[in-house]
Amino acid sequence: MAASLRKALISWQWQNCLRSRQVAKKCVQNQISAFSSCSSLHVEVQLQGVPQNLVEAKGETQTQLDIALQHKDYFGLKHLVTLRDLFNARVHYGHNAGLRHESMTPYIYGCRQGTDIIDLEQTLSLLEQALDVCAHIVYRGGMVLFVCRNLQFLPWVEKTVRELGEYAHCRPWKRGIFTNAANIFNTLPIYPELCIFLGTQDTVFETHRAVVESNKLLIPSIGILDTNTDCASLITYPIPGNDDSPESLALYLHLFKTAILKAKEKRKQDGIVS
Amino acid sequence: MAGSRREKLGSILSRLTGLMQSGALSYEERPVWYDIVKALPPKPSPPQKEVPNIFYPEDFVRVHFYEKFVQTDPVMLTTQIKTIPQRFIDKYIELHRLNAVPTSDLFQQTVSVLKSEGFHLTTHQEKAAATAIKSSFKQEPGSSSEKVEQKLKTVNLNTLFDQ
Repeated sequence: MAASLRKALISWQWQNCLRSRQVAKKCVQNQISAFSSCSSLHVEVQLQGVPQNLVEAKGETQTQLDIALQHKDYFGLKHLVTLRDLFNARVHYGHNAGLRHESMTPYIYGCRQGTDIIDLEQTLSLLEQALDVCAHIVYRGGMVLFVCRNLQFLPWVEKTVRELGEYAHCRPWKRGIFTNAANIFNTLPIYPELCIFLGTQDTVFETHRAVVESNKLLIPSIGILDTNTDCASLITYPIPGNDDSPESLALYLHLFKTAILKAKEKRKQDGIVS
Repeated sequence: MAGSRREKLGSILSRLTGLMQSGALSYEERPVWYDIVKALPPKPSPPQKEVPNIFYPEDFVRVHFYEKFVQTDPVMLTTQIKTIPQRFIDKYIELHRLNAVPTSDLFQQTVSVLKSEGFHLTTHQEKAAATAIKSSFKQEPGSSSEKVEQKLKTVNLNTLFDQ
């Protein structure tokens, strides 16, 4: 897909969302003959300055993107967060044991006086991997959508996301925003390449509809899962952790912000154009 | 429209791989995340387990303490002063580490050490006796507890001495 289309689409505001812009619409009509259920985007890579780095592997040209992916810690995110940081940010606090969901039991360290305590060692490794995945997707020019339905954190999330130049959906989720977008917005939508759930509950009783919808549309998701959530199998990269404390949410936001900014910086350095 | 919308079977990676194998989606049209999720696959979820209760050694000392004694002093959250139960537990563990006292006598020994240090440990019986005396005042005919309190407030020391 042409770079011009990509640019036109990136500038598109998700919040006011998916309402047709003439440029985007025309591009979409011209370029996509058959619309597939997943968001597809072919990334064209131009290597500036380091053409020697091209390596022939298995008959395919190995690009800068693959080199970055094979690197163990390309964005330097491995030691961004420590176990002590997680502990200080109260990430280990789960819900009351009565609210526990069976699918979350592998991530629970134990129950202290009726409160579930999350196993931070598992959280740490899963969080590091999720940050790495997030950075790689941004590095390749993917669009990230933050989802959070906790009203207390809404201004925080939206402010952070605005600074990042990414997108957030913290308002009530209209059923079918992903799955029935063409009818709701009267145009072909652009889907994010990654959904980050800073809390997978919509209300205290039900899972956020976007968890299911992103899964249906083959959009990978990263989710902070508290001990009462029932969607561990639907989230691609689950991170067990407390999703109710402001301290915890501040830490998550800081980490994802750092990861995304580092990825964008690297993208600029490596001269990747998509 | 290519792709199944049934989200409960497989993962997004397996379903997209299926689409590519069947030819519904060409390799060039693959989404941005495909290579990344393939290179960094999600860790398989560990099996479900029984969640254990978390206990510390001091918990058992604390239970033992509250079986016999009660906490009567107010707890000040703003200061670093230790409460009596906490002092008891610390002393108990300290004596246990020293290994000088047999385990059966450890509790009694801790009580005597604390008493020698000047701390008063209130037993359940003492607390019950104290509340019984209080309630007997309330049952006094012809005067409610409020009236008694009111009287106590209005008593002037000077007038008492004058008499």
